Parts: sequence; C-alpha cells; structure tokens
Amino acid sequence: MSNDQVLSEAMEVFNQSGQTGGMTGGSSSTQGQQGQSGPLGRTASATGTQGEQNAANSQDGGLNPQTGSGAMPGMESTGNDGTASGAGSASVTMGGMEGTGATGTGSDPYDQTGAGAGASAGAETMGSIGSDDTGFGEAPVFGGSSSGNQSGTGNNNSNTQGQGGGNDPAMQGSGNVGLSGRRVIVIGNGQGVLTGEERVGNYDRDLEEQMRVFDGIILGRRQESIAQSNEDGAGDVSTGSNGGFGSNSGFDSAPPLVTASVDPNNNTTTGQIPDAPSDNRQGDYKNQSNQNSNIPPDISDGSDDDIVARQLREAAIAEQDPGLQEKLWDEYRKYKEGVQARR
Amino acid sequence: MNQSYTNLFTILATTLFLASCGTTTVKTTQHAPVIQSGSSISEAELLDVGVDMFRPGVNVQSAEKEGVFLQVRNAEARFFPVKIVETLQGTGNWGVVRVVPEKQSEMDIWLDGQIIKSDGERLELSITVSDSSGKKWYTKNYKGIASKYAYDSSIRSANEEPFQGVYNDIANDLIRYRQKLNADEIYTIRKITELKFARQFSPEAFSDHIETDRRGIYFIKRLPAENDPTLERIKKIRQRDDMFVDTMQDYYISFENDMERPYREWRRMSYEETMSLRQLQGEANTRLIGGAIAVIGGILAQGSNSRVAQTAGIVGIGAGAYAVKEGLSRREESKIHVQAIEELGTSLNVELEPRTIELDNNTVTLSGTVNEQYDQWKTILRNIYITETGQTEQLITN
Repeated sequence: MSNDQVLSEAMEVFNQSGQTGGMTGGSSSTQGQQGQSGPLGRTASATGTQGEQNAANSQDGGLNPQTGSGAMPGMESTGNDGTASGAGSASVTMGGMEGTGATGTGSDPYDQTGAGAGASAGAETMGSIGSDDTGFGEAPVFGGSSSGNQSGTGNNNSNTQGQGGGNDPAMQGSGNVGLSGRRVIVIGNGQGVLTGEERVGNYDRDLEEQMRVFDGIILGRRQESIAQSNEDGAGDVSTGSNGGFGSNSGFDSAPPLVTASVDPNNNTTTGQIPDAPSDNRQGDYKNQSNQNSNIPPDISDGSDDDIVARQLREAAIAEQDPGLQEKLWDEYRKYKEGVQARR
Repeated sequence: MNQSYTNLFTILATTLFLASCGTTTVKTTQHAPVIQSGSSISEAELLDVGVDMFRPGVNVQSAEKEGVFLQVRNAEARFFPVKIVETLQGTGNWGVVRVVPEKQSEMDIWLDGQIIKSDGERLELSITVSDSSGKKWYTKNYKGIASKYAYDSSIRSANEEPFQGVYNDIANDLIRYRQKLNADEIYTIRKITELKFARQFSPEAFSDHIETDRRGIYFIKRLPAENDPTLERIKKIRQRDDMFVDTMQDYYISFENDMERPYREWRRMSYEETMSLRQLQGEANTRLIGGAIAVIGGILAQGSNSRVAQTAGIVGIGAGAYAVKEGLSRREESKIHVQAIEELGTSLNVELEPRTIELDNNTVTLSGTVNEQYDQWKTILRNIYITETGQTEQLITN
C-alpha cells in the first residue's frame, strides 16, 4: 500500500459550535445507489483494489481527532453497456466510535464507464456526535492499474446511508465528514497525485476523444443520408426533369446534398458539394450494404459492441465510399482499443 | 311606357353584368427579385439565420372544417422553411442559413412561420422574425397567388417555384431590416448568440455574462476573455453543433426533394381543378341570379300597357327560366371538381405521410444521440470548471 498512501487535504471546514452529542447509534441500514451509465451506454468496467483515506480534523467540543477512512477491499465492479455495481465500505472513527459508513464507487459516465453503486453497511454504532456524518472513501483503482480514476463517496448519516457516485477521472476522492455540523472535504488519491492542470488535461483528452467519436457518428449519418438520397434519386431518373424550381433561388432542380467541412480557424461550418456521386443505383447500394464482405478481417463480430461502437460499425458497413469506409473502420478500431484499454 | 323600358334595361344590364363576373386569374409570373448586398457585408457582420419548422395553422378538427388535408399541411410546414432557407442562401446576405426544428441550436436570427392558406393557387404565410436577444423584429403576412402559367409545362417558367415571389419578399424584408442595424447592434446579436451557446454548455462559467431584462430580452453583462480556455473548448463544441445542424439540413433537403414532385403535381392539378370549379361556380351563380332577375322582370313587364314590353317580358321569363336551369346544371357539374380536389388531396396525404414521419424520425433520433453526447460534454466542462476554480460541486449547486 505504499503507493496507496493517502494524501488528504482538508479543503473546507465549516465549524459549527455547540453541537455535541445527540448521535444515535446502532443504525445499520444499508443503502446503495445504482449508478448509471453514460448516455451513450459506454461500457463500464471498474476494478477496485483498496483505498484508504485519512482525514484529520481538529474538532470543537473536545472531540478527538477523527479519521475517516474509506476502503473498498477487493471492490470490483464490472458492467456492460452502462451499468456497473460496486460495493465498499468506509469507516469513520471518531473518538473511539467507529462507524462503517458508506462508500460509493463511481465511474465516469462520459469516460466510457458506467457508474458504480455504493453500498453502505452502517453496522457500527457511533457514539454521540454528529447527525450528519459522512465517511469518505478514496478512489479505487480503475482498471486495476495505477491509472485509477474514480471517486468514492460515502454518506454516513446517523442511519448510515451510503451513496455511490463518482465522476472524476482524475482520481479524486472527496467526502464530507460531518461531526457536530462540520463538513470536511477531503481530496486524496492513493495512486498518485495529479495536479489540477493534469486533471484538466485528462478532461481535455476525454473531450477530444469524444468529439472524434461524435464526428464519426455525424459523418456516418450524413453519409447514410447521402446514400439514401442517391438511392431515392436512382428511382427518379426518368422524372428528374420535372423537379426543378426557381432559378431565383439559385439552386438546380435537384440540389446536391452538401457535406460539412469545419474550419477550426474561424469556427464556421461550410457547405461543400461532394464529388460527383458514383453510379450507385438502388440495387447496387442494397447489395453492398447487405454484404458482410465490407467488414475487414481484423474486425470482431461486434457481439461485445456498445452503442457507440455499434453506431460506428453500422455507419462503416453502410458506407459506400471505400476511403470514407476505411476511416470509419479506423474510428471503430480506435474506439474499441480505447474501451479495451480501460478494462 | 317609360317604366317598361326601364324594366327591360334593368334585365339586360343585370344579365350582362353577371355574365361578365367570371373568374380572374393572374397571368404573369413576374415577381420581385431578391436583394443581394454582394460584398458590402463583411464576414464579421454576417448573421446566421435559423428557420424553425412552420406551424401548420390547422389541427385535426379545424383541418376537416376548412377542407385542409392535414398531412399535406404538415408536410408543407417542413417544405416552406426549406424553400425560404434556399432563397436566403441564394442572396449571399447571410452567414449560415439553416432549418432548425424546435430551435435546437443557437442562431443570430430566427424566422418563425405559420401557414395561413395554401392550396396551390394561393399561399399566405405569417412570418415573425426575432434575434438571439429575444427582440422581435417584426411580424408580417405574405400572400402570393400562383400565375396561370406557373403550372403550364409548356412554358419554361413552369419549372419555377410558383410562390418564389413570396419567399423573395420574405428575404427582402429581412435584409432591409438588417440594413438598418449598425455594426454594434450586429456585434451584440452575434455575441449574445455565442454566450447563450456557451452558457448552455457551461452555465457555471457563463451564466454571469448575459442576463435578461424585464421584458425577457438578453443583454450582455460582461464578456469573457478572448483566450478563455473554456470558451475555446466551447467553440470546438459549436463546430460539432454546426455539423449536427448541417446533418439535419440534409434530412430536410432530402425531404424537400422527395416531396417536390408529387407536391408540385398536386398543386398543378389542384390549381386546375380549383380554376374549373371557380369558373363553374361563377357561371352557375351568374345564371341563377340572372335568370331569377329576368323572370322577375318579365313578370313585372306583364303589367305594362305596352305590347312590346309584354312581349319582352315573356321572352325574359323564358330566358330567365333557362338561365336558372343552366345555373343548376353548372352547380352540379362543379361538384365533380370538388370531388377531384378531395381525391387529389387524399392521395397526396397518403403519399406524404410516411415521408414526413421518416423525416421526423431521422431528426428526433439524431437529436437524441446528439443531446446525449452534449450532456456528457456538459459534465466534462463542469468538472473542468470545478477543477480550475477549486469550487465543489455542492457549492456550485447551491
């Protein structure tokens, strides 16, 4: 656990004097909150090893220094298409009182992982203080490696309620330890320290990656639309001359579909008339789209595809232009590799 | 004697007047050309225009009452915006011009429309224009009547959109209003659009930059730094949003292309039937009224002392009776055209409905996917904000 040394930092302390005692002990309810996947149904897969969080806090009212610890021994959560479950526990020790609180494990819904579930086992009684205790767990290791990137959150109220949820790919574990109305926010990680800048860098990479996937999806949709238009147009060849409309509008009778090209320098999207459409007639297109020979040999059967991968796959299969199709397959490969790497 | 001549004159004059009351048709395809500012508008002053899907102007109940075919009207509510977009694009006066259903993106100017009448012969639209600040520019009704030659396939102009003049008028009013704005106003509109988009994705970072006044009009409180990294990220997202809007545009253009031919054919036939119907109805009315007057005049003439007047009266009664009979016959005949119009509408209704559904499915599916992705980007931006500012999520929420 040398690598799991916890660096905790009390970020914020709200002192509220005069509240001592009153904590009812003995509650042992458990409650977990099921995380949800990212909307696009990214695959969730998280393996937690162990986390430990110490939070030191000076206290009013003669309380002993307290330690909040969250541990997720052997926590493992795996899921597919967006759901994952996890369990763990956090304990808060306060002046000899120990509560096994809540630990949530979370994942990053936008980071191709599903959210975990937190389960609390508030089995221990806590003596007298605080009606709003919160135990806070540290992030489990994501993917079983040192690139841990989840946060655990535990809520330990008087009846010990746990809540899972985390969304910080930067290994941020945070929590509240509320004793006598205090709230202590603890940030720590057990797998290494990332500066704020590094965390932002991680977010930026996520953003870029998702944009790339998004571009692939949009590109696929546009190509589908063009293909559909070509398909329809093939049936209207004999009647095409009747479709004209005003020269004042500046368009020909069958305005070609435009394709977008984004100019990153001036933030504009411009329309571009694509190259002359190929001679894809209705039949040709259908035959092509029905042939699995469009799938390169190194591509898997797609049985483990999540929604994004499926969309990329379908777009690639439907694509008629070989160059564009290869790009879509590349996107598919990159995406799948990314998912695999996270597992 | 004088009275007899007066009666006779009245009968003849009335008959002649009614006979002249036939149908009138527009016999010109001329319409105002669009105003093109050319290169007088710098790129920095180009405004993006979004045209929302039009309101059909009828619902299930009222459509039946008004003899409107609901699916045709629904399709038109998607068709006319595309036509207006194409017209605006052709002027070169604007930046990006797109059909954006349900205002799913941020644009500098919005055109909202409602169809008041559309039957192949007449088109009447109500157009409301506003800018991104929420300020309403104007609301105006536009009417157009299709030319007699608009659907004549032997004439070259028949390939033109019969109501291009209406679209041109809409485009011209828009640029005229735009020309009244100074550079600062243009800049403000563009900035508000940008900030609204930024706020949508990162409310934590940009909610303080714009506000609304008592009337709900947006104004800028402060501007972000030019090199604001979050703004840079949002600009990248906006490029993707432009792609999304462009993709929807593809759907609409495809829909318009699909709809164009059957719709045009319907409008042509509907126009012909409407003209025939109106002519027959006019003739029927003329004969019925004229015949009735002639009969009454003839009866009155019988009381005259003049033999000539009495004879004329008898002739008048006979002619009147014949005119009434003819009128009734014409009225019966006109029912055939009414029926034909209904059949044409029903046929087009059936043809357009699946196309409209397909369009809506495509746009809704795409919007769903995109919105899910946008939600994820919002989360990332939120986390970046939290990381950069050191604020906690809880504090932000509070």
